[in-house]
Amino acid sequence: MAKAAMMLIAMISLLTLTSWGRSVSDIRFSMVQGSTTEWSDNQVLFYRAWAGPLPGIAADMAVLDIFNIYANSQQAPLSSKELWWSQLHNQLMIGQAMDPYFRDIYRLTEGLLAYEANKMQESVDLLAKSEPFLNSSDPLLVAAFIAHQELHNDELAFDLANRASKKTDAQQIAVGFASSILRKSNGCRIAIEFLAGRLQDMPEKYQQGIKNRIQSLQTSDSCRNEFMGHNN
Amino acid sequence: MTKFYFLTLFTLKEIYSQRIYQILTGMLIVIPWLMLIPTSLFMLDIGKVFIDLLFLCLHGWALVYIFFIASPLLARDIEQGSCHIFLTLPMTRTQYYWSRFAGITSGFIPLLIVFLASSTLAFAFAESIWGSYIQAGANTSFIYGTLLILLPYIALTAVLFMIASSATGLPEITVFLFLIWLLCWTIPPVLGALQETEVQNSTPDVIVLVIKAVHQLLPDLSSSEISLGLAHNYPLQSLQVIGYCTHHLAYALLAMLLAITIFKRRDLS
Repeated sequence: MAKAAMMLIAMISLLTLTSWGRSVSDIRFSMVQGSTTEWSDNQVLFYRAWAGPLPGIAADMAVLDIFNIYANSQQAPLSSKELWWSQLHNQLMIGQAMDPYFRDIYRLTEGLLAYEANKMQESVDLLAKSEPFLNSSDPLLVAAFIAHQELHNDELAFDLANRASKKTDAQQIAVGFASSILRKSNGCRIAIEFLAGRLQDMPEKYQQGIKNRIQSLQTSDSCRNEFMGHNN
Repeated sequence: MTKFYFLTLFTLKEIYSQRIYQILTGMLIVIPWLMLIPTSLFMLDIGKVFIDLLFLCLHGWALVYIFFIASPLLARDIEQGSCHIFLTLPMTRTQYYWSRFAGITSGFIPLLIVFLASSTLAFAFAESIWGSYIQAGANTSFIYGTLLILLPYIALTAVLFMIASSATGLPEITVFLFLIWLLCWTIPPVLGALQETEVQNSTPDVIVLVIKAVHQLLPDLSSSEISLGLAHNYPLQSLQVIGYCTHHLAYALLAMLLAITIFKRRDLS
């Protein structure tokens, strides 16, 4: 009986010590800081080596990392957001290199890299990489839109839209968009409609960048003038 | 032939009686369902992510089986001299080794059946939740991929027999098998990197030659194109699949023949 009581006391004491040790050791996940690591193609070689026969998993991990980076960037002050965007770009590049068929990568490039991080040229480059791998015209069309609307590079935009319209699933919008660039007649209305259409399939928490862009278009002077011209 | 069947069946029963094997079988029922949790985090290619995760599980359980079930079983035979029980019967070393190989390889089958059955049900459930985000025929691609991805592990099992034919015990078998597995895992991507001009220029020719030679000696575990293609439901070319299957089965037989040659000359006393 005495032995059992002693054992019980010893166990309770040890449990208390364990809990106390854990509470003061302060080992917890701290928010990782962003860093401005420049992208290098050599990073892909390392990821290919560890992924071995499972490059798809490496791409999935990159996407999970992107969610994490985005969540952290939302908590970071405005001045240090740039540090996170560099990492976001790197993870997207890794994801695309590991699994170039993965549509989530291109969707996040559009939603986060372009409209949250404002890295338009990088987004266009990454979206254009989808061409040999996807049958879908979607990423190329988005790249064309960004090139036209944000980079104001109509030559590139037309080239991308033209390539998009050659895809098997090319929607009417791809053909129409290419021709409207040629006519230089597309304006705010088309841009806003296009961006609003892009919100479909995008989880709500990642829509903010595109919504902000729509809002800024709606309130811009040039768009107001265009809308007034239409009304007249 | 009776002796062969007897020892194969005995090996299978021996494996099945191990608690770790039973636990592994039980876990394979649950794991595909647990994989639905991380899958739900993704947006468009949900079916692809689910297949990726299931392939990851497949690699995981195949390795657990080889390292923690097959290796100790074979090592026990040598360390504790259990092989003498069989070899004292009118059974040759060749028969003993082939039977053990057949038994250990057959041990994959119950695990495979459980894994595929549970995954198929999980797929059906996933399709009912995510519908169009899972491509039609994704489950068939997954089953096809599973069967293909398992082939290198049969070759790796043959390598295990080759190592065991001259090894003194479990630590030696485990360390060498792990090294070989690690090389098999990393060499194909390294060779892929060597295709790039920049890497090619900065790597000495001797190293390239050594890497290529080692790659030729080891089984090719690089099923990356298969797992990537099938996860996206892209069809594989018949010739490539035939070549892939031939390579692994021929490698397994070759490794076993070599293992038997070494084992026959071994002094077991």
